[in-house]
Amino acid sequence: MKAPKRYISLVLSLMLSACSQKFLDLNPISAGATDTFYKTADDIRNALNGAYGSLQAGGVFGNSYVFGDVASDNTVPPASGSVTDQDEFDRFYIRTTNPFLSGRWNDSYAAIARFNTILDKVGGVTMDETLKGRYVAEVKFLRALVYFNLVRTFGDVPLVLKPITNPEEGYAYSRTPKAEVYAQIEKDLSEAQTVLPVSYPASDLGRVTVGAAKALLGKVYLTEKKYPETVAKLKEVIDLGVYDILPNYADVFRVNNKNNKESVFDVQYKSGGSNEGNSWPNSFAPENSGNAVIAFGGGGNNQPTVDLINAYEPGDKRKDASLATSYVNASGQTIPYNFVKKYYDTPATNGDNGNNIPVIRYADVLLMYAEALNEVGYQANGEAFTYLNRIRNRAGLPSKTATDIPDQPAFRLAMEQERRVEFAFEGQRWYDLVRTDRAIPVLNGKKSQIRLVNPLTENNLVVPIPQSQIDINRNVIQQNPGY
Amino acid sequence: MKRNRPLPILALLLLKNPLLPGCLFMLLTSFAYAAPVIAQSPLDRPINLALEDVSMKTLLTTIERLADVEFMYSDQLIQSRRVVSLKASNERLATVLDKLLRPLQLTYQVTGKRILINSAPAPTPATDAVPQRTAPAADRVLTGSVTDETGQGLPGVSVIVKGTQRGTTTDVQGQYRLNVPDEGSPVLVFSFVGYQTQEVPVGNNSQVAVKLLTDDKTLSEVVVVGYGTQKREAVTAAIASVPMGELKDMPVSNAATALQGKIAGVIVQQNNGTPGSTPSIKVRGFGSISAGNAPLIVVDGNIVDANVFSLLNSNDIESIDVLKDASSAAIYGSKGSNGVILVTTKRGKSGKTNVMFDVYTGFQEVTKKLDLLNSQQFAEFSKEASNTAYLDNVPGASISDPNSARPTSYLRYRYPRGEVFDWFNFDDPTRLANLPYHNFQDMIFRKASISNYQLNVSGGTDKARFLVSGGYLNQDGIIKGSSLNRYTLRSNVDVNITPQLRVGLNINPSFRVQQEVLAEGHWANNGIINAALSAMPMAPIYAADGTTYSSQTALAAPYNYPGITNPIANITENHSQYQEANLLGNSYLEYSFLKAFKYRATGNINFRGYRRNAYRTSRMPLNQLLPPTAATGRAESEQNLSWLFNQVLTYTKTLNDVHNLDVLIGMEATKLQYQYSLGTGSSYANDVVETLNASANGTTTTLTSNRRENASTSYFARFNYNYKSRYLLNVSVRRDGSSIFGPENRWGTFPAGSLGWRISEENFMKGISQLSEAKLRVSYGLSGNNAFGDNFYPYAALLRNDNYSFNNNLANGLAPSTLANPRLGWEKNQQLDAGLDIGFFNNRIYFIADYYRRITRDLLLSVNVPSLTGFTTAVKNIGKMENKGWEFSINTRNLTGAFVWNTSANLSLNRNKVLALGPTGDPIRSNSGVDQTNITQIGSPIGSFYGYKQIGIFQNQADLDSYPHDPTSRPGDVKYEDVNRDGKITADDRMIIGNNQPKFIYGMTNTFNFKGFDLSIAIQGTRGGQVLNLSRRFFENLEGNANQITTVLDRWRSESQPGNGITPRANARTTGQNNAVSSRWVEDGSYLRIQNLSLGYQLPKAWLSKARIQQTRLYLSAQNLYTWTKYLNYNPEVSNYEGPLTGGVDYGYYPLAKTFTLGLNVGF
Repeated sequence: MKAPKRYISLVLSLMLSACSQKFLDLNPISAGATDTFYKTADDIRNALNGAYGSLQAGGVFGNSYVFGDVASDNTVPPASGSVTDQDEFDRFYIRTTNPFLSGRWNDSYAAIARFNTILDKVGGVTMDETLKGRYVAEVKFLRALVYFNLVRTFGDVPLVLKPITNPEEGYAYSRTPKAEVYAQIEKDLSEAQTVLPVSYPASDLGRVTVGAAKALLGKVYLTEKKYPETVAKLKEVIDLGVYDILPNYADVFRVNNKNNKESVFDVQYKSGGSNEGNSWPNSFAPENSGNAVIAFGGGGNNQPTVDLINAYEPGDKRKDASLATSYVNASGQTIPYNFVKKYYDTPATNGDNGNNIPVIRYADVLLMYAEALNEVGYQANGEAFTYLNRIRNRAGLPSKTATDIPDQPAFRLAMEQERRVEFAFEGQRWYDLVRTDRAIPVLNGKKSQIRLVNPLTENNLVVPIPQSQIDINRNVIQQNPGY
Repeated sequence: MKRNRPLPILALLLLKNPLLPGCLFMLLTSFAYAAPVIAQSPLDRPINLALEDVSMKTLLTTIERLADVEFMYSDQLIQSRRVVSLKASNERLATVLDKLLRPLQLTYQVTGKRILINSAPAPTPATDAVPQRTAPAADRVLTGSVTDETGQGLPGVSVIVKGTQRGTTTDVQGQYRLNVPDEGSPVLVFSFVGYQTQEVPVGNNSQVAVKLLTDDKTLSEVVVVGYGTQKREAVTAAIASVPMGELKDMPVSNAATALQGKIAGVIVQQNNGTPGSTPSIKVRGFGSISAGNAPLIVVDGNIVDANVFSLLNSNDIESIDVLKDASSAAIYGSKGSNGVILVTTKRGKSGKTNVMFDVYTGFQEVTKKLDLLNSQQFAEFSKEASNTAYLDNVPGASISDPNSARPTSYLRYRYPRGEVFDWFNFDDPTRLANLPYHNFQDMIFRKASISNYQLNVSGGTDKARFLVSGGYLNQDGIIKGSSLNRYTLRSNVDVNITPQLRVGLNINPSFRVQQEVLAEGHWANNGIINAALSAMPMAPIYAADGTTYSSQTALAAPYNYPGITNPIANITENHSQYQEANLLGNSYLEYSFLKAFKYRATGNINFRGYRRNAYRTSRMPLNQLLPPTAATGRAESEQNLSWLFNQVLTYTKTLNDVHNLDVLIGMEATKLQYQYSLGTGSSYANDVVETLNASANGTTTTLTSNRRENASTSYFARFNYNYKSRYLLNVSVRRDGSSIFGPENRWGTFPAGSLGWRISEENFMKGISQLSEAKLRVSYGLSGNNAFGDNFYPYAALLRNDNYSFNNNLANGLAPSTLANPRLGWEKNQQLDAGLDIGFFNNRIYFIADYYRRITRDLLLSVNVPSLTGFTTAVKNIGKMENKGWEFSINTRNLTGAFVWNTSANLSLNRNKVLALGPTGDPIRSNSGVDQTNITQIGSPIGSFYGYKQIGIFQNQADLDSYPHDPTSRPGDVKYEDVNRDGKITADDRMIIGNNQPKFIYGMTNTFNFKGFDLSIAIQGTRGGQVLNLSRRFFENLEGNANQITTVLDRWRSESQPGNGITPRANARTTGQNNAVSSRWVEDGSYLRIQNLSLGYQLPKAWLSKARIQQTRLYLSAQNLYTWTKYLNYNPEVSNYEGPLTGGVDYGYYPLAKTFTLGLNVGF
């Protein structure tokens, strides 16, 4: 019976002889893999572009109007009934499950993870050291910017400074006290400002400059009420001599006039079907306006309140550049509707607009500088007045003098008013009110006009930590008081 | 040697196939070297054949070839033209001959290769000789008749006195006459091919009349199992065979739909009524959280997508077997944990060429329409909603304030008062009475035709058999504009090259063309149904010119109404043609050697490709936009190419007539390649040309494509043993390696075993004559799940594009998109199954019960991780889930006379419970569409509905003051339960408010036959499951700006008009979180449906014989005839988010149709 044995052993051996292991080693074809990335200068440049890209995320700047304007007395969400996510911000009954909260938290930390990964990996990459230094400085600025938004939104936040590859490590991070977060922000910006260039060639405009780092650092100091430091830092920006305010306020926001002399740092967008467009112009146009206001119509978001409309002084050119109260539809009817028109483009597809989102304008530098000067010490018709009046004059408004603004508290109120109309719909109002300890008195003073559900308390100055993040790590991440 | 010659040639042919790895094919060439010629008695040779309705002569010739013997007989003696059927799988020739010849009163004698067939009266003992009895003391004459179930006399039935060689056969009238011994208590054995053998004690009778029952196939039938077949009686696992006869008249465009309610433990959900759409199928509950829950579908050994059911004609299916427990599915290893559906398609049989023609034609209608408000009801409701919001939000407001006095800001709560369009006035009773009214549902649905034609030709000889079938289905959808045209072709051929060597080829191309409509989706995205239900009944369809489309947008701006799109335009202005080609091909080579061995190699190729060309014209009103709007085009294509190769070696042996062995080893390799590309254009100058070339190039034309692939290799073995078919044992193991899993955890092993005990075979049970079958089964095994959906590389840390721009210059960016997990591995499914099969009265009553407990471990779970890591989720093997349940099915043949009545029924229940989750055991909350709607938490069923529990409506301020409420609540708003008793209504007060999984599912089919008429009634249903009718976010949101279902007529209006106590007040700006996900929208999803009713008539043969037609049957059939349910939306089976975490959420879907058809089957 030799034959059968041979037969069977042959069959068996052939059946079991496996093909090489390589048969199962298949690598992704249509996506890159992290473990082979971050090796070359090109990789780092791509990663840095991706890091900038995270600024566009809804929770970072994409929906910043909800935090900066809707939450203040500037704007209200559309009238649509069932969605109350923005109404909760508008009228201060924010639920811990509100998606804008988790959006800001998740998107910000996703951005921070990108920044940390670059900072972690760049050391091992062989490339031009000067360029490497600049890349690191750009990333540090971005990290500081995102943490600055986080700490102003939530208060104490976990301070993550290195990449986390094993999610288990994530459970160890608790909320870091605000002061430490601010210290890190100052550190990142201080380091960045020593390396960054003053400007870039046209093709790279929009990258972080030394002016942006110093201006942001000035803003951080101002928020921390470190007034002498603010004055010193913003003076450095002014002394750079590369910025100026444009003569015509409306020109600052024109889509074909981006990255102009007044722009210190913007979140960049680009129209043209590359998925890099800004949806704000469509989002803010009136609902059911057809193509009457902007091609493809609008979403009715971020509607100016009557209170804001009335806040513009007569003759203020900024009003018409920033908002409208009615439009004429295709059938010729005039439809009353308050809407933002500061951002306008002619999109080829819905939401594909080229408008940048301003983060720091030179006008902001000047007004912050004036504010800080006043805090250091009121000076009748002093330097602070000069900068305030430069902004007012551009808007077509007369200068203010010590007669109009006789003392330090009055100057603060003048700044509050000026900043409100100058930076309307630029996501500043709420943070200005909080920074100057004015949120509670100002908003409670207009309780019925802006339809607060409950009067504001100290607890409302920060939003709740997203419920999802508490649920996942209940013993380590605690909720803000009052939520 | 000569019979081996073809092999190297074949191997060469196959080697040329570039898809198959060469290393696997060396095996084939090896055969040329083996040359076994083993001496054996011809009577011991194993015979494998299955012939139906062939002539005696053909049959004998076949056996001659198979067993290398030569029969000698006289044609007259054996009546060589008589038609017989015979099935033998690996049986000894002696057994086969006994089975064939004995009932015909024939015997045989072996001399070398020659076998002489003789008539019985000269009893020549066959090989297994019956002991000769001593001569009878005295005889008496017994007469009688043998009839079939219908009372017709049965000629040729063998009648033998038990224990003797004495016997006779019945004559042409079915009469017999026989001498029986007078002593003892003689027993007559009546046997005939195709009928059940019956033993009848003679007693003192001189006449014994017998009615023979057709052989019940339940036991003798062959069940398809993984990589082989098994006799039903030897099955120890929970395997259900679909009663194909019950599916025959169903006019369904997807064969899987017909399985609904037919198999205990298998849920088939028709969640979408689109022609050709594939229902969701689940075997024994949800076995997974993030991996798939769909069973593995295997067609003729080819692992395919469930979509294949939409390409198979149900007439082409020979059998469908469902492997439900782990012991049967474990042979599929990492793919088997959700059960396996094995589809075997029809193949040609030797004998006369058969031609079958089937046609049916009929029409379909929507099963249900919703009750919506009419124009006057809407006006009254809408006005109230505006006024409520106005009063709520504007201090000092009065509802009598004219529109002009109401604010111009966002608090502009105005309603139509004739200021824009004279006719559009909710205050003026005359205008109100004359408001236009559009019943949009009537405008989108239609009575739609359906026709199906199929021609099937099969036949062959014992050497080669073929089947060719072609089918054409033409179905219009019940939503206007949708249709399906399907062309299917199937052909297969089996060739016995030598008695040992068989090859076969099966090719099944199919092609379908679908005109698609956007039935589902939000009106804002031009969803037809959502728009038809949401648009105000007076919303214009056309602009003043009568031809340009208009929409609610034309009325919207002054009143803050939403710009709901035009349901009619959504049909006509969206063109989408979908073409899909599918090719299933498989070929096999089967070689029997060394008596008991069989080697089989199978190669499968499955190609699936589709192309979609879509265009939205500039005439389409969009959300808030009236035409002309920007036209958009889309060209999309996808290609899936997969191959599978396996080799199986089996060894079948019976030792000493009592030990039956069946051993199998095998290997398998698979590979799938997927490619996709999509181009879109959005800058068309006109509507003349719809393809992308007409869209201006550049910025508004986009293109994307991607590719991915996966591969697996596996080895498996199975050992089957039974002792006298009484004690049964089955052990199997499979080892799988898959590219889907982490490099550190790529291989998995899946063992399983089962035991069976056929108590009825025990001697002590033989006395109980009523009990014909009793079998106890128990099985336990491990199987896996690798269904990761679209994610082919879940273990890898991937990058994704995130671009940016600097001063309008695009800057390409990359960023991490997932975390790595090199340890990611299989999801493991352990299943215990205990079953009982029991048959009474020759299995006229046959009952099967199963209990199972299925534990899924190492769930592939996308767990939430602290997002400060940069990622919100990470994929892990974590968690544990249990499914346990009972399944009962019963088949009875209630009446077997001239009037035949059969019943089959099944009922099954499954209980699902999550046992462990993530590292901290935190529940998983899942979104569907808008908000969190489902929760998966330990101790509860997966994907339970999650939200607030409504306990009423706040009736007045005192009521409001006395119970916790949302800060914005007012009287008339919803009262939610303060679950955590903290005095506030917060997200923490959400709770489980229902579950989609039914308490039990059932089905029952009754068939009746009488004088050529047949009637079949199938019902089917579920009980105890719920549906989250999230569509009510649209049509019961009470905002007054979109149409609503009539439940809003029972809304809260005031304390004295509180309505139904559930529906809150109308309010254009919702307060009190009224429209949060809550128990208000959780509905009972139980239903009972008359799934199919068909009445057929078989034309008498006498009428047909002249036309040379073998048979003709005419029938009328009604599918989905009626559904009893309390569910408010179209279809209680719906589930838009067909993932286990979000099951049973209804956000609007293509509704089901009821279908009426007239059909004809003709056989030549």
